[in-house]
Order: sequence, then structure tokens, then C-alpha cells
Amino acid sequence: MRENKATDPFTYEIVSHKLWQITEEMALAMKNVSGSPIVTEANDFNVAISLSDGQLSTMGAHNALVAGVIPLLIRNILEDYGSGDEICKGDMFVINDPHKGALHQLDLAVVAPVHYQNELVAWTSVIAHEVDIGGMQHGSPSPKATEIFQEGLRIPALKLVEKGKFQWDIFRMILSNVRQAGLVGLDIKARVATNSVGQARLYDLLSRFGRKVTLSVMQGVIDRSEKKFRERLLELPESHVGAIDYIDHDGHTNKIYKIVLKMTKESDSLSFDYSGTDDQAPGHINCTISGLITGVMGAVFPYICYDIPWNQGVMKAISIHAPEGSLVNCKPPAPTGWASIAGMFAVRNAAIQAVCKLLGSSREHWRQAGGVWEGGKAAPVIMGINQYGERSAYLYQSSGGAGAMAYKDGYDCSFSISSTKPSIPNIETAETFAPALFLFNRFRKDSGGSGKYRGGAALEFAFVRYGSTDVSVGGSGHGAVIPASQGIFGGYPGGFILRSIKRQTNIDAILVAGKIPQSIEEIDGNVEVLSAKFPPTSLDSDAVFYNSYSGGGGYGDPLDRDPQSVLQDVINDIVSPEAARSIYGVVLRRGSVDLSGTETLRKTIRNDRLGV
Amino acid sequence: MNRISEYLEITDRKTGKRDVCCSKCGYILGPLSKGIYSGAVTRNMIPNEISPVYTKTDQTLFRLYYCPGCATQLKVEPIVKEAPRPPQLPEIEL
Ligand SMILES: [Zn+2]
Repeated sequence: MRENKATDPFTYEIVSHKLWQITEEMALAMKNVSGSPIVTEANDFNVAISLSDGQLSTMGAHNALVAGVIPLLIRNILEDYGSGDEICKGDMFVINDPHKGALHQLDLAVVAPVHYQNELVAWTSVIAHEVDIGGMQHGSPSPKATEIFQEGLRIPALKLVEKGKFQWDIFRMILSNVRQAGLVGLDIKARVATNSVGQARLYDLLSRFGRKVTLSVMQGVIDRSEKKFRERLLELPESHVGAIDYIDHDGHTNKIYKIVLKMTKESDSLSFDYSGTDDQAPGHINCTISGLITGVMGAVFPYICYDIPWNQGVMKAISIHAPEGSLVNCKPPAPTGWASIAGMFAVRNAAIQAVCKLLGSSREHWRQAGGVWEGGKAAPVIMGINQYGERSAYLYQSSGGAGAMAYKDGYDCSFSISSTKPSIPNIETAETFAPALFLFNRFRKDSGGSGKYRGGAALEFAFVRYGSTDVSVGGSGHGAVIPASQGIFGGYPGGFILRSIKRQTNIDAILVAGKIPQSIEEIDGNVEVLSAKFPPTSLDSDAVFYNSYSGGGGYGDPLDRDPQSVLQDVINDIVSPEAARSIYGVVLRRGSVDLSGTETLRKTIRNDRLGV
Repeated sequence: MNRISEYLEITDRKTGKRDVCCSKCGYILGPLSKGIYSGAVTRNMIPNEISPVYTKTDQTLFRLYYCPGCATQLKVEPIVKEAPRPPQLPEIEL
């Protein structure tokens, strides 16, 4: 590791903050031009600035899981095009191949070289989740897929802009292969705008401070992160830590797959070995090495590097291994359509478990340990003919709960820990884009993993079709029969994800009577519980679709929880009176805690645990 | 004393070797070399019987680990009935 001596401290701070500001402006450009709620509302995108060899220098303050693949993307562009004359000033590459650095085909990246004085000196990038990229099902990933070729257009690095000239032939070729081409086309142009802003601002910076200073600061922020991260690792105990996470259902059968991790902390380095993980699956839950790497970083960045800039410096102190052909380092043609919420998420969940056990064993850093944070996504895709008469698919990204920490409860409705600007779409926005009428959107009672500190509650919501008679719902998630968000040190896991359709309901009568149901139990009908992955299922006029995400994992023994906090949770409708009694051992009487009754009940529960 | 987790630490006061000790009640669970939960009381429970928020399933169980001295719940481990935890995988080796 080199000490950065090319600049004085003042210039270093000015230039490094300029780099942050450029990523902020790039992100603003993306949000302002994109018409997709996945970008504008759910913030499921990120931007970055990298050095000429692909080292990630400054990451935007959005979804880190999306940005963790950028070094791989640039490395693949350099391999395909060579670092010589083929990469020209004014070029921009479009790329989404999971075997060329992308996470899954839906995450379309546009990556742009930055030239200064006719030399390649840096890169800017933007990656965002698309509404569709072609393939066998509207929205692209399908639980029925058996090969990556069924999951949409797979683009190796292609020049979308060549020497400043937009390549309309490439653009038209992409749009010919996707549904909702209007939205996708606008999003692609938004990526070009984003990189144009990045290229221009970086060029200004190079012109103002000079090549040597600017590049030495870009390298300097990487070196600083590496130094700080290695120093932190030296403060943590030498250890081997094991963790297992699970994915239920591969799209074809309800098999449970295990993701096995052995993490080793030795001196100032950390290694992650996923040997022992199950072989790649026949369905769309696999991830390539891109998901493996960004999944690990999705745990290390927030838990260990909460005060260290997230960049290549941290990645340098980490080694990652998984057998080729395993679920977390799959070979073609294995499908990877939902790598972003399955394989990669499970890699991250196992890494969170291991990192938190390591932190929890440290006298200095135990406060950073916590339960797993929103371990399973359960976003439904609402598809069919929308209220405007167009064929459409809308991915409604809602939110689970945060893992409880060693000193506080997890945030309710937290979104992902790897997203530093978490956001979920407004219901009104969802209703604008999708032919659906939402009935309620609320915290699911008891979904936060119980513990001394409670995991955050997940959101549950329900909707009926609206403005169209041709509406289906499909979904891919995990954690329906085994928890996606495990607890820690005696804390319970977060609640399972749950999706169901209630058919032949009385919803019309309820709405005509001027009432709005506040829970699914208030609606009569026949319940059909859906599996973790379900293909598009049509909604009749009287059908109600119900969906819950996974709550966050709890921390510590629930019998150690302050009874007043349990009472407050019951008042807030986040914990049920039944769970207050059976899990927390808290006796409530007339709106307050019965302290002696609680003490007696907790003693009884402890005796019961030991069979006394 | 070295910390292992929220409720466990390492002590050498009983055997002169590194033992796992409950930090709440002082109970010695056993030698660290055997694994931090080797001396814990365990029982398996059906998730749905703990809370309806864990949907009914016949595929999985929760294994609960308790301190034999004070019954503190040390760990809740999801178990797949047909695929037990790999025996060589450590919880944490310090
Ligand atoms: Zn004890």
C-alpha cells in the first residue's frame, strides 16, 4: 500500500469531495431523465467513478449491491476491447451479461471511458434495474426458465456511443427485443445523460487541478479505505466463523438450497469461502461470480465499513472463493434471472451472519453486530393490460425490516441495508403505473424477529385489479418456508415472506359500503397460499392479492427485552398480545405491564426451556 | 475475560484451559475446543407453533439453544429436516 503524498491535505479534501459531488450530480441526472419508478422512486440504481484500470474509486450513495460489480464490468470491457486504441474518447459501452460482470440481465449498465489529453484516465458508470429486457416472461426473469437464454437479451460490452456519436442501430436492436420499449429507451438515454454529466465534470476537475493531482486523489481515496479497513480488521479477533443461509424453491420445485460460508479473519485480511454450497439450480436463483463478489461486499461495507468510504480499497483486503458450478458461482447456461434477490442475497445474508458473529465477539466492536436485515425480497410483478390499454409489467418493490442491533431495535420498513438512500414507491405511484387498487399497506404484526432488541417489521399490503380485466401477478422471492432474515445470539428470525390470493371475496360489498379493509382477515374468501416462486396468476374481479416481505432478525433473548418496550410495540400494533405473552413473557393488564405477573411468567418459560 | 457473544465468554478459572462460560450466570458450558454451543440444552420446535408469522411447513424446524444454568436463549437455528448442518462447519472458532 502506498502513502498518497502527491497532494496537500486541503487539496485532497477538496478533490475527494468533488468526486462525491460528481456522483451526486450523476445520480440526479439519472433520476431526472429516467421515467421508470424503479429508478425515480425505488432508487434501485447506482453510479461510480473508477480509475483507468477499473479500480472503483468513488461510489454513489445509492444501491451498493448494484455498484459492487463495476470493477468486473470494466475489467471485461478492457479484456474485450484492449486498453489500446479501441477505447476512444467519447465512447460509452452498454453491457448486461452476468458472465461479463453484470448481476443479472435486468441490471443494464452504461460505462464510459474518460480521456484527458488523449489518454484513458478514468471511467464513469451507471447501472439501473430495467422494467424488461426481453425473454420468456413480461418483466424478464421467469420461474419457468431453465437457461439464461430465456431470460432476455444478453449484451456483452457494445459501443452505444462511439466517439461521441449515439449508435442508433444498437439502440434500435435493444428496443426490438424488449417490452415497454418506451420506458426502456428513455432509461437507456438517461444512462447516456448520466455518463455525459460524469465525463464532463471529471474533465473539468482534471482541467482545474491537473491530471496528476486528480488521479492521485482518486487513488488516494482507495488507499485510505484500504488502510482504515485493514486497521479495523487488526482490531477484530482472529477467527474462523461459519454461517448458512437458505433459498427455498428454485422455480420448478420447492427444494431448499443451502449456501454455506466459512469466513476467516487473519491479521488484516478477511476471506470468504463458500465451498459446501449446493450445486447450481435448474431455476433462476443462481448468481455468477459478479453476484458472489457484490454479495460479500453488501455485508462488509455497511457492517464493518460504516465510517469508511466504500471502494476498491476495502475489496483489496478481501478474498472470495466459491466452487465453479455452485449456486453462487454458476456456469452457463444456468439461469440467473433473479440473482439479485436470490443467489446474491443469500451470499450477502450468510456474510452478514458471519461478519456479525465476528463483530459480536469483539470487546471493541460488538455494538455493530445485528440480525440479518431484510434477507428476502418478495416483490410482486403486476402484469397484463394496464389501465391505459397497454401491455405492461410493474415490479412493486416494497420493504422488509432491518436486523436488530446489539443496542437498538431494527428499523421498521427499512429496505435493504446495502442501499444508503432507501426508498420504496409511493402507493399512488404504483397505482398510476399498474392496474391495481391498493387496499392497505402496513406493518405486519409480529414480523420483526423477537429478541432483546426486536427486528424491524416488514410491510404487508393487498390490492385488487383496477381499470383492466386482464391482470396477472407473478412473483419470485424466498423465505416462505425457512427464514430469510436470521436472528443472532438468541434472537428469533424475521417472519417468513407470505403471498396469497383470496378468491370469491366480498371485497366489492366492503368497498360499496364505504369501508376500507385494514387487514386481509377482514375480507371473506377462499385463500390460496402461493409458493416462494409462482408464475403469472390471473386475478378475477373479486380476487384480492396479499403480499408480505420478511421482517428483520432479532438480537438476544426475547425474555431480556424491556417489558415497557413490548407494551409500546403492542400499542403500536407491531407485536400481538399473544406474542407479548408467549415469546416475550410479558403480562399486560389494562394497558400497562403487570411486573410481578411478568416476572412469574418469565420464570415459568425459563423452567419450561430446561424441562424443569 | 474474552467475549464470544452477547451471552458467552471465555474463561480459564475452572480447568485452567479455555472454557465457554455464560456471562449472565457463570455456568461453564464446556471446553471451547468442542464448540461454543456443545454444552447447551437444545430442543427443536415447529416454527408455526412459536408464531403464525412463520407459515406452516413440514420442511423446516427451529433448533433452540439454552444455557443450562439460567435458561437464557443463546441461539435460534433454522434447520432443514432433510439437510442437516454440515458437521465440520464451525459456529465461531476463536
Ligand atoms: Zn447462564
